[in-house]
Amino acid sequence: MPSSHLNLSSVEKTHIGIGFSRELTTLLAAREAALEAKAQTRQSSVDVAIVFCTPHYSPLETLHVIRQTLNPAKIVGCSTAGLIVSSAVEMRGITIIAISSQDIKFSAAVMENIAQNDLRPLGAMLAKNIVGSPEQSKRQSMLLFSDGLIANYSPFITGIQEMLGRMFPIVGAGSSDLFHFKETHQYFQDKPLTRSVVALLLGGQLTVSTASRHGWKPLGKPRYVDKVDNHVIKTIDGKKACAIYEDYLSLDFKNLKKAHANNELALYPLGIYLEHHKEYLLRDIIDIAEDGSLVCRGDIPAGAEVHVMINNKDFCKSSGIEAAWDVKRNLADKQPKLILIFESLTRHKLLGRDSSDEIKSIKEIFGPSVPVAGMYSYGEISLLKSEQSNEGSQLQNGTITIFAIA
Amino acid sequence: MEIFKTLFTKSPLDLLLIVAGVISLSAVVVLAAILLRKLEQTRELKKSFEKLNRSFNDLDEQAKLIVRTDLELNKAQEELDKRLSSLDALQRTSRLISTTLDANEIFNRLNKSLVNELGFEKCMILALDNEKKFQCRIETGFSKESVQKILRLSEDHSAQNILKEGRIFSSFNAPKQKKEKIIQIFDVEHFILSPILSQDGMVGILFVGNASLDAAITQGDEELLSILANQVGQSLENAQLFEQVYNSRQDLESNIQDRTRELELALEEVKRISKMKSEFISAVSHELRTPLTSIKGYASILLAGKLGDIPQEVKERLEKINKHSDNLVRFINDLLDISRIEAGRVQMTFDKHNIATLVENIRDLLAPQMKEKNIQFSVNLADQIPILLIDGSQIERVFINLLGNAVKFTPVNGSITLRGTRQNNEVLFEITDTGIGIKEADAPRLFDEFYRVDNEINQNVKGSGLGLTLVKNIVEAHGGKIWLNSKPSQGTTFYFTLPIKNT
Repeated sequence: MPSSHLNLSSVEKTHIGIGFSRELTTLLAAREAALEAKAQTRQSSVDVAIVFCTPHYSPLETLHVIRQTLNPAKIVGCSTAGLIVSSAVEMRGITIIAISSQDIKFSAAVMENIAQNDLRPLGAMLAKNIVGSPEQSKRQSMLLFSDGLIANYSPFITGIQEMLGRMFPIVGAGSSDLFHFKETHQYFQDKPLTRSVVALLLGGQLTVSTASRHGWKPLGKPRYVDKVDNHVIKTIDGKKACAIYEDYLSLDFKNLKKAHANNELALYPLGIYLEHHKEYLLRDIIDIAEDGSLVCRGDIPAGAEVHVMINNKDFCKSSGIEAAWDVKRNLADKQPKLILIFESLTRHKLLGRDSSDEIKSIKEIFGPSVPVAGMYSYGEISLLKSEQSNEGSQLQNGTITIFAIA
Repeated sequence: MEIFKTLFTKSPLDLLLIVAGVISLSAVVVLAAILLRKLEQTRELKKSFEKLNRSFNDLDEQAKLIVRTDLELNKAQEELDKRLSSLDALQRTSRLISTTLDANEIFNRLNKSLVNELGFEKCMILALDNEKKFQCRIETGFSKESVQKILRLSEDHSAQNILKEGRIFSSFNAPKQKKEKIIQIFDVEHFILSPILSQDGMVGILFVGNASLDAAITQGDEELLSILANQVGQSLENAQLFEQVYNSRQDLESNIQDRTRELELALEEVKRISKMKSEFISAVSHELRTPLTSIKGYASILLAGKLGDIPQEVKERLEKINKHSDNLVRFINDLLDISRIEAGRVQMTFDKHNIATLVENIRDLLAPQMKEKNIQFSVNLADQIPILLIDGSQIERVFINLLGNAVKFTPVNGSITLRGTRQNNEVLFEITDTGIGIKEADAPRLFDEFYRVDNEINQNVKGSGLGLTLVKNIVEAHGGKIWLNSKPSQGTTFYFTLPIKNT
């Protein structure tokens, strides 16, 4: 998706440290990562710690150790299947991004145990809570960590936008596991949560820039969504929705379900054609219902033109590099102090051993001294922008979303 | 023309109707033509639409082909990636464990690598102890209670049979019963269990597993673990061998140190005894010399007739007392000299000496004895021999001793040669005789105190056995060396060196 340039004042007196460890035990790994992050900030206190942790570690103990070691004012983050650390990709470990700043003001809020169907009011409530917090100051951007297992939290984002404005930049990711789809965690202060959304509002003196791309290309003739219920497509071109995949993969319903269980459909998401956009809006298929409906991650508009999408390693890597250049261009002459990357786990599946090449290329664009950290996600939240206008942040799939603080 | 004539005959109304009819007819014709054209266009559009639809369908068919091919390629790529990553990890792990010879460190490195590099959720190495019972050496992903439970369950007879089978197996290919037993013991969904083998047989088992149903084990994983288990076995064996060699070396070093200490003590004891001996000899010699001087003095007085004439028989006896007293004094002096030199109490008086002059004096001294036995004595001193800084009287004793011995052991009409040559920074002297020679067995002890070679000449001629000891001590006190070369019945050559010092 096209990038966004938020013309804000430059960051001063901001100290950022990134700690990483893949020690075998939670205690050792969390402590090592926390100490390294703190050492890099060279500050006595830490305002906020953003934590990404693979499922190999106890989330409760991780947060406990971070609290003991760093004692930051705020802890946010989520579990992930893999980590992006500097120019490498790690499938086991704990990453802690410690920020101490006199210029950036942080407010954090959480919406726990989301169970109801209509998420929009909950999003609005979260936004209301965070805006009303005492630390709130000249809000610039929001980082959002949601449970990647929640099928469709597009309405939640809409709810936030109703409070903060449709164009307000929200960037984030859905917590992930290794395609097990069993349990993922969101971290808020000392609590590891499930089915929750954690938000960190950034305000004050800072410049942010964000961009996202996916690189997937449409295949075959266009098809049209006839019946849809938010994120569940019932029929396409008058047939049950899953027929599109049965047809393309030459599989009967039973074997299609099996292929889905083996994550084989992950590489062929549905793409929604958007007028005046460079890329299609992707939707991962997260389930195939018994009636043949396709359950997608994110809303699908009724009547949407959809294609089965395909990608390869080259397109995939190029899209990451394009996103990085967009972010750099938008920052103009400002040197980023932190690059956060939220990348779809599907991309990691596609790139395989080349995953680190993509990250290395991105790191080279920003320069060796710029700290880079990130995670692999189930769904990314980033700005959707056409060639003509900014359409605000949306839940997207299959992207690499780069967020820079300068 | 007829038509026009007919028209002129018609009324205006009729004419109007006729014109209208013609126009209508023309319109119908035109409309028919347009309709035909439209129909034609519709047909063409329909054809185009069908063509387009066919193209779309063709495109869709191609897309299906692409997706199916891509799916296969992706699967192959994923498997290839996994294999490559595994091989890479195996190579790194092998390097890690092969660069240490400490068994504990091997286990420690292996633990991290199995989890970090090979990506298994759980791993455990159970090593067999001396009683062939499993002991947990490393574990990751298990709670303490789980480890205890596994150790307890592994003692079960049926579990022992499976665990000690000595063959690799996994959830991928194990028979149902065996698979269920391992799943029950280790509480995992997928696993690989490989024996760790050394030359002495099975030393333990390497277990890796994943608790989640989705993280299945492949045949590639099993092959990988098989290679790794072999590598672990070899590394442990190397560590064991190293430990054995190290322990042997430690024992050897300890033994050497013990022996060295014993030898040092023995040497100290020898030195102490030697010192006591020198002191004893010195004390006894001094004690002997005083009464001996008195005996010799009184004998001389009596011989000189200062106390009156003495009978010839008494005189002969007194001369014998005098002679033996002189021998005894020389013997005591030699003993004293040796003990002094050994004790470092003799201060050599180094002066410049021309060795040729010194040798000429000795030639004169020994000339009567040589003449008596008709021994041919030749001296060959090289011109390059410089003036030497030596204790003249002591070196003179060396030459007298060695040449005296040569005369003593060389039969009548024999020959003795004294040769002197410069050898870099020292002068080498060789005294060669054509005497009776020395047995090989006697040569090493020749310079020992009181040692006398058992031969016919020595049996008839009395000697102290101190001469060569004294010679050796004098040469060494000058910084030189002495040795000999001899063959029985062919003669002997004594060699000694004296260093050339800056004069």
